[in-house]
Amino acid sequence: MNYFDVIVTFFKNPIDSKPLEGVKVVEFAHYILGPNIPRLLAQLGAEVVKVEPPPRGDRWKYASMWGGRGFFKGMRIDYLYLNSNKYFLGLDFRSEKGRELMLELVKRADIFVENMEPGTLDRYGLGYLQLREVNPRLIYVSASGYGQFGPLHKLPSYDIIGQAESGIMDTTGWEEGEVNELYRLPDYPGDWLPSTMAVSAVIAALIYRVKSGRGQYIDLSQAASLQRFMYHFVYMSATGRRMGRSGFFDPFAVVSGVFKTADGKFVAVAAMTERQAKALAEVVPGLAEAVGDKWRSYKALAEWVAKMTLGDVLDVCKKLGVPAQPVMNDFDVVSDPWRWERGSVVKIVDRLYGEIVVPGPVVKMAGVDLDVKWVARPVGYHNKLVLKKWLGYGAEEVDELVKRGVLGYWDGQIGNTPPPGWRAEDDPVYLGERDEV
Amino acid sequence: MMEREATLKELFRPEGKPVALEGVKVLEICGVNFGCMIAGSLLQELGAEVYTLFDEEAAKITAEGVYIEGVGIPYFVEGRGKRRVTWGEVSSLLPTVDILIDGLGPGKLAERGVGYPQLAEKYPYLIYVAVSPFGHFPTQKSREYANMPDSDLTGQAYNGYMAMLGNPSLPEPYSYPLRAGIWLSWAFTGAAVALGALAAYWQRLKTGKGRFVDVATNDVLSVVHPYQVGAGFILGRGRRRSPTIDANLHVTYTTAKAKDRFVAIATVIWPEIEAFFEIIGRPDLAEKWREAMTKVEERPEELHRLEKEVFNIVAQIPSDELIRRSREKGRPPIAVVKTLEEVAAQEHWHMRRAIMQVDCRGKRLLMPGTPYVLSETPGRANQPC
Repeated sequence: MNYFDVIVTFFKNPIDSKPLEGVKVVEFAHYILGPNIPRLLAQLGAEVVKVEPPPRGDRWKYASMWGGRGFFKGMRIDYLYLNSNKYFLGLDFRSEKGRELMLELVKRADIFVENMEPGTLDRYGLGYLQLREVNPRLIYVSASGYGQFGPLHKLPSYDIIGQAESGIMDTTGWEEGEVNELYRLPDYPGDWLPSTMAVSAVIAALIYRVKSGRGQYIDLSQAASLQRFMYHFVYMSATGRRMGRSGFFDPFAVVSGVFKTADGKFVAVAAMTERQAKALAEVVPGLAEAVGDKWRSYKALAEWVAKMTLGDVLDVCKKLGVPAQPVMNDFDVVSDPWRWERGSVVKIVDRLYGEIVVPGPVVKMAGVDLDVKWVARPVGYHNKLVLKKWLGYGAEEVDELVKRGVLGYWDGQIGNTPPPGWRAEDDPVYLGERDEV
Repeated sequence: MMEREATLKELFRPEGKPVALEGVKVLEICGVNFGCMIAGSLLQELGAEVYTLFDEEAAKITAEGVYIEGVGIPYFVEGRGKRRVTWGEVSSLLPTVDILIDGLGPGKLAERGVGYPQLAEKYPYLIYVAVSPFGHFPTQKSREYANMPDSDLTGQAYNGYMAMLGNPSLPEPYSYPLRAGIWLSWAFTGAAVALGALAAYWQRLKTGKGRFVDVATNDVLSVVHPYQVGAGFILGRGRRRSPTIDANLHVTYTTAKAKDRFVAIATVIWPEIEAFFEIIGRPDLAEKWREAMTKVEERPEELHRLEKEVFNIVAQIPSDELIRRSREKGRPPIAVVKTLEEVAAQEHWHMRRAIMQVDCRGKRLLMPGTPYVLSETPGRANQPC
């Protein structure tokens, strides 16, 4: 039997529960760096309660995207993805009762994730040193630009500032003299990558807790996470020279670059090894003599690519065993049949927001369904459901807490509203009568 | 606050503490696939015992002919703390392995009798994580490209990432899409593989069962980091690439050349944008920018005209003056874009073990440390020499 046919048998008929089912997470985070950790934990099956101060909550949803076109039925599209599979609690943690409720949730939680400015939550009795007294088994994650200690720890941070402080910007773009510009890495990888790495630390801490019974504190720095991949430090100290900015070359490949094809498309080619470069040199005139000089080899390859269509370049490289792929844009990604076939782009029907295209699971796991089950909700949407499930509160008690200002709901601003046509009285999840799925 | 910092510094002291993944045994067979090797490294930093099948081609990969301890720079970093094994040792090792990471491509290990179909039967508790450009899950492309080696550059291209980086207004070929200066696609892949392996391991603690996990380099970045999917879905087209105006927020979330050097400016929400125009002495531009932003689809040239004006003003102000004004105002965050030399010299990163200095046969080398700072089970970055 063909290898792929055997492999598909392991994926057929999901039978297992999600790996992190039964793990409870409290999120007190905003923007991207903090919330992406519980997003991935929730996708793996954890039950995540996102706590937001009512009525505004996480401010990321108010930043206008794509000139105001980035909202889907009233909510920002990336906010919908970033906060999928979570429960939303609108809680004023500054009030005494609010703080009490928070502590009750923490007592029942396995993991707490926050990304406020270092020390902020300590002022409200919600720092690690305080919460470990309430729950010694708690795994507490603080995500910040530079970590919770050290000379830089008080500096403000966003992805772009973390990029500037880590040194990663100094590796990207062209060398001065070629182009006098310096680029940030787009789309906030300084948030998304560190938070993805942090999930492993969280699960490792859970594994350790099984043996030891003890929770612990995880201090995530976005800049340090980016530095983990900067081999430039080794080069610099070994040679006494800095490694130049890379432009469109992979400095570790024998031959590489981005090229324009005869049909006006961009293609990336990276012969990582001498064997791959040799195979390419057998069909590209002048390449064999140019290997070792990045611009000369680029020009030889560029002339060859310029005479071929994208499809031809891909076919030849595939036969030669040399990595080559098109430079895709957003629309190419969403329209790519491979992604739909694989499930890395998926159309779901969300109970509230209806049909929506979402990114697929972070990994494909045989026998387990790791899909997005629902997307984000407005502030406080699950107040009744969460307090019923976690603390056994009745709907009337929740209404009373709302009257007292301890709990609250969304403000109706774009970015923080249910979709048009939604009716509270017809929604059993909002009323706390049933779960999302 | 000083007391808090001192307490935390003490709490995070690594000396004499255990590792989180004590007793977890990982075998990586990566070939020239550094997404695979990075995953093994992250697990190793969290305390797993990692065995790596030495690959000569991978060990040769380096920049400008620089070799350390006989291997290229990426292998020097990603190989540290791992035990090298040969093909001859693999079969005797397998019965004790918890996690096998396969970076060779679909079917390659099966041809040698150690693919998942064979191992699942023999070792039902084994966690097998496959890493390849288009995945082992059967699709037309995974079959078509089963023999294609992996690469980070093609991963950045196929994920839709590269299309957003660079300046399309420059002359060719400088106007072409650029790469992120690190192996960004392989870094995301490594992070996803480590996460998938540990999630499966956690489940195995409850069920005793192993599992197959599949990661495709060509989709991880766009799945975890979802703007390509969101923009394609909502806008129905690709976004415009811009070196300065942020392609999502359409604000000055950007690098800019101040009078003396480059700075990074982080305007995200409206009060930060207003504050930025105030500190450059042009509060009147805030409303104009807001108006241009709402018309960006129909009249992109208006935002570009303002962009030029703003950056001409920034170019007249020294970087430390911009930072002073932003700190005084409390927003927006502005920082100097640090050079690699400046970063390497900062005490902060050494204290946190994010950058470490090692002694290799009398030569002092700097290298990435570990980002894993945990109070009970600190991450470890082994001495590579």
